[in-house]
Amino acid sequence: MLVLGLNRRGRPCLAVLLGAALVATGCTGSTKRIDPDRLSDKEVGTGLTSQDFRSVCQRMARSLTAIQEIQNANSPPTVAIEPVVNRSSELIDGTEFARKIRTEMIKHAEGRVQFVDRELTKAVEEENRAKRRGKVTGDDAVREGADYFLTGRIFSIDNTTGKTATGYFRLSFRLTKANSSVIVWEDDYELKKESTTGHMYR
Amino acid sequence: MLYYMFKARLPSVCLAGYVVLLVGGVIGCAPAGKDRVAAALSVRHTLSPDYRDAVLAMDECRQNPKNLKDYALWGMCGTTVAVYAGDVHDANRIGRETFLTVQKYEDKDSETMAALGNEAVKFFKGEPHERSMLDFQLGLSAYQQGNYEDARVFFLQSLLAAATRDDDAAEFREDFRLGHYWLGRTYLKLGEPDNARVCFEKAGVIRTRPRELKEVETWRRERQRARQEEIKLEAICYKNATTGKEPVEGVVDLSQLLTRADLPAQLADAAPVNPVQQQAEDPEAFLKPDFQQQANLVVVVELGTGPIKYLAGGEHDRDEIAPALFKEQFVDVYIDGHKAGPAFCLSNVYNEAMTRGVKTRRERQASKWLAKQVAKRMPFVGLVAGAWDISADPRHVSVLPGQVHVFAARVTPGLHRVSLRCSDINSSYLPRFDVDRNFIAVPPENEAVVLVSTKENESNAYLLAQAALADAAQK
Repeated sequence: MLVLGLNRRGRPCLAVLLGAALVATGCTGSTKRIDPDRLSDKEVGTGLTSQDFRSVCQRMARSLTAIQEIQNANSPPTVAIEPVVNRSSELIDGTEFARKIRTEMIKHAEGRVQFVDRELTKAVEEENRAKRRGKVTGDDAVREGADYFLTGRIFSIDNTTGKTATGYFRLSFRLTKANSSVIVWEDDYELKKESTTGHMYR
Repeated sequence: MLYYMFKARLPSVCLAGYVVLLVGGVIGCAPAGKDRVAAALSVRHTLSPDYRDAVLAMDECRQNPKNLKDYALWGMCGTTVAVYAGDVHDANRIGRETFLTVQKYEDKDSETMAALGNEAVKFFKGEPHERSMLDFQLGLSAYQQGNYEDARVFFLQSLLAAATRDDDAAEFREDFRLGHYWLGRTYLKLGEPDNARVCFEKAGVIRTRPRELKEVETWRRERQRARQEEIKLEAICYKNATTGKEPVEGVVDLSQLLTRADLPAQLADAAPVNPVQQQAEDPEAFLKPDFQQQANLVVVVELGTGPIKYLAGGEHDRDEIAPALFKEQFVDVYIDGHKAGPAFCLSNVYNEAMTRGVKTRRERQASKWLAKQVAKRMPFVGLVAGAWDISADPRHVSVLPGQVHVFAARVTPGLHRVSLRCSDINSSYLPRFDVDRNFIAVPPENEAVVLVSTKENESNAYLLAQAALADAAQK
């Protein structure tokens, strides 16, 4: 391409270089890494952000780890995650909150609680079948039942009045005893946001 | 060797190189061909449209990095066409990406540039009615897939999007009746009849826009004149077709002035047994939660084309909305040839566009216009001010329907034929707008949701006209 764009002295023609630069600039973007706890000015609206997600999960994990049923248990209780119901006006994968709480607890609770992986139920059953048939080595172990279920609910109230929109969110999580349905722990996180619609979008 | 060959003709080679580079650049980020895009955008007007190619062409435009500021425009067009074509999968894929972008994307630099000059340089996020239609389409796609939780979210979002931000349209913040209706049906599916009742009540509230009644009167008069002209032309057409040198066999006379009231209880080829078990004759009965709970066949009818946005003012400094006039205004539905009641208008997109609220934009546009007029009259500055572009933003989703009507009934499960008979604003029957859809499957347990669009001259059956002729012959 440079050969095509040489001038009489054999130097690259300015127009070609300028064109190349323009095309190159037009087709490339930029990426930078930012702290997930930092509120980006690119995040607009009243919806939940990564900052909210992390704050909620960390606070819930701390609160849950401190309860007597976990702190004073003789052996680590087993917890299963059940889907978190999303009743808000935002598209949210509610169960991802519970998964993040699990991650935080496994990282920081020093083995005082253990989780069963129900998402792998099908794979575990297939593996056990293969073991029974002798196709793979190992014992066909009985799967561990859950002592508790961790679940939750996300709820929101949204309002739009003039140029301002507000969004209130309540994210509640609870730990329910598997054998009695008694709720042994519940905590929530509330947040309210206000956003103004840009001048050009009114 | 090549080097010396090119060195001999350097000036022309430089130019050629530059052109090659630019063409290469354009091809690298090329949009879909202009003809293809034009064909895709006219999908509502074409008698045999290539839906698949229309969706693909619009998606290519959306994905093209050169069209970044129009990303949501093409996304909204693509979603509308995908829904129109019954392609729930693509509607979901394109619509969700567009929805998230409209919600989350912000480009303050282009907003500032738009505020100072040409407003079309900003990232397109659509007018409130366009955003609410996108959310509605996503909700309908999720509903049709049985994903009622997502459907609830999108229908809620459609109501939030329709809530205009400007105070001059404050009383129209809850006027998206289509969203309320579908949210109500979704709540029924989620087992929340109280919420559903509230939604159906809101869906029943009609807010008349200022000047609306006057406009309707004008359109009625104009349509009356046009209809008489059409009838004359139909009569000439029939005469030519039957008495010409080569008479056309089976030609039907469409010059009869039939009204909506003349529509028969049964079409000529009606099934022996009426499959309709429960139907609603008026909006009150239609919006009763019990009726909606019982209804297992819902037909969403899209009529005409959506409003047009155009530039007005000497400097193209204002954006205005104009209606895309179309003939069909009322729809009566037949199931297996048996009259099953009217479809009710739940969305008039032109009315929703006209109640978008323009206070802020008019202040901004007027300020820019005034500033330009003053600057143009100043010495030295006037030369530059003349080139100051203060155009408004005419971009709009041109593939939207003009109105959305909804019909619901309880029918016996099985395969059915859904026939639509349209009438104009004066309730004159429009035989050229007949629509027939066969093999609509209503399952025994669940429901069937069908989206149908009206289009002139799509059907060549004209069964109603034939039946009317047969009746006349008998008399």
